Amino acid sequence: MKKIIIILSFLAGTIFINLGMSAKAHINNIKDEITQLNSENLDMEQKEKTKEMLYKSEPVALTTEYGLIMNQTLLLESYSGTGMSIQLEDTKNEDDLSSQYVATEYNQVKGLKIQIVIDKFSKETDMGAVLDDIHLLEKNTDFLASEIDKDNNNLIVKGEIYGI
Amino acid sequence: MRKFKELYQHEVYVIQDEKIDTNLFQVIGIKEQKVREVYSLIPAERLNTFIPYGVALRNYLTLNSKYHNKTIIFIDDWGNEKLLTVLNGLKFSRTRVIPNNGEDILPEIKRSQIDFYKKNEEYLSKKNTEYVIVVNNQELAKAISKNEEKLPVEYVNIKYPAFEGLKESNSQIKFRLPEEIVKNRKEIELKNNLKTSVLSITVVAIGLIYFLFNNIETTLCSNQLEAIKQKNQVLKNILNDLDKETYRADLKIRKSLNYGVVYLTVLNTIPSSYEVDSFKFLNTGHWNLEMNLDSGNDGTYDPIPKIGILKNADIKDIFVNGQPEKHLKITL
Repeated sequence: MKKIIIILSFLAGTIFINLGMSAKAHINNIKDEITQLNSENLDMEQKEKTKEMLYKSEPVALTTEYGLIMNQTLLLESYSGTGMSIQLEDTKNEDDLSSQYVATEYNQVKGLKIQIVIDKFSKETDMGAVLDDIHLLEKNTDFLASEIDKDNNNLIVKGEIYGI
Repeated sequence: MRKFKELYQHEVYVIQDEKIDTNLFQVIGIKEQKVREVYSLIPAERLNTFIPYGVALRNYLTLNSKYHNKTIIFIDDWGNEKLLTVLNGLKFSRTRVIPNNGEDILPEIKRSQIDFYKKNEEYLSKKNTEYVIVVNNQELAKAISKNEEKLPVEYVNIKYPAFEGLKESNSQIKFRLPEEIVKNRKEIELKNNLKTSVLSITVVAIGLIYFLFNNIETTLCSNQLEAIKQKNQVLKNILNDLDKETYRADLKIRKSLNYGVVYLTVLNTIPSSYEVDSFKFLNTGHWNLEMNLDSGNDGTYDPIPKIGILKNADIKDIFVNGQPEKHLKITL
């Protein structure tokens, strides 16, 4: 009888210890998650502080912004004679541009990756003025260039249009 | 033991036995009434040891090595009475009280000796025929030594030898009343049960406490996690709203580089003999400008000064399509 009691108590003790160990493992996982979330929260708080200082304005729809860029390039072409053609970065033809929208570092703000190809220029072309036009395009729209590459034949500006 | 009971069947005795040799046991009995008297005077829990006089005396004599291998006739003088016990190794006789205050002691000694030999004849060692009379009263020792038979007598200077023997309490013989034995057995059983219970409860309690402690900690941590998750969600919502409101302003900040100005500044810094073959602005977290220059029409390669915008520029000599060129890399 005594032996049975001792065995049963050891069995019960072992079960409780095992349950305790499972709980401990769960605690460790929770603690890891807490550490990760705390770090994420601190980072977001810092971002919030930085963003709070920025000028606030109404967001613009991506389609609107795309149209604006088209108009701006036409305007620049008419002013400076720089021939600009706008292409999608990853594909040539697309029925619905919205399928090409990508996520950006700004939450709920989408991006459309495009490239502007300028292929009609000679040695006499003022490259400084062409680059200035690209900067002007950036300033007047929500287009952000990430690469400007000029070889013998072309000048290709790769970048992204931002909007909601 | 059966023999003892047959001999003393009219009175109730508390009997103890001890193994003194191979297949040889010594049975010692005391009237139960006497044991009860002792227990009535001293409570059982305060009674550390309760052993027969003979055993206590034997314990004392065992400490004294000079009596080994001898039959001892011990006369213990208590003042008002004298006790006579015969001992041989572990065997000892019934203790007799010498009447007439020690007068006629010699016949008593002889009688006890003969009686002891008679009773233990078959068990005594044939080698140990020597005997000695040991007395703890000097005068009595002198008196006995003057006997005609010249019996060997020794005096030991100890008033109560049995008390000394009591200190050696590791004897197997300990008198107890049957109910005391039952009580003691019950106590031992109770202690064992208690030990079992304590051990069982402790084992379960340790497991349970460990489990409960971790469970409570899990609850606390879960609550903490929930609060942090809520804060995280609130911050995400705030940032989402802020992103929508400020992304245009942030884009403007990131568009601070005027490529045309940078390009022309580089052109103005390098010698006029060079012509730009190709260039590339690349944003990798910060802007870099890479430029390939050829010597132009005059075919000269003037040194490029590392000044102004080219102060930290990386300038290399390269070959493009079999033509030597200069490669500039500028971090903006």
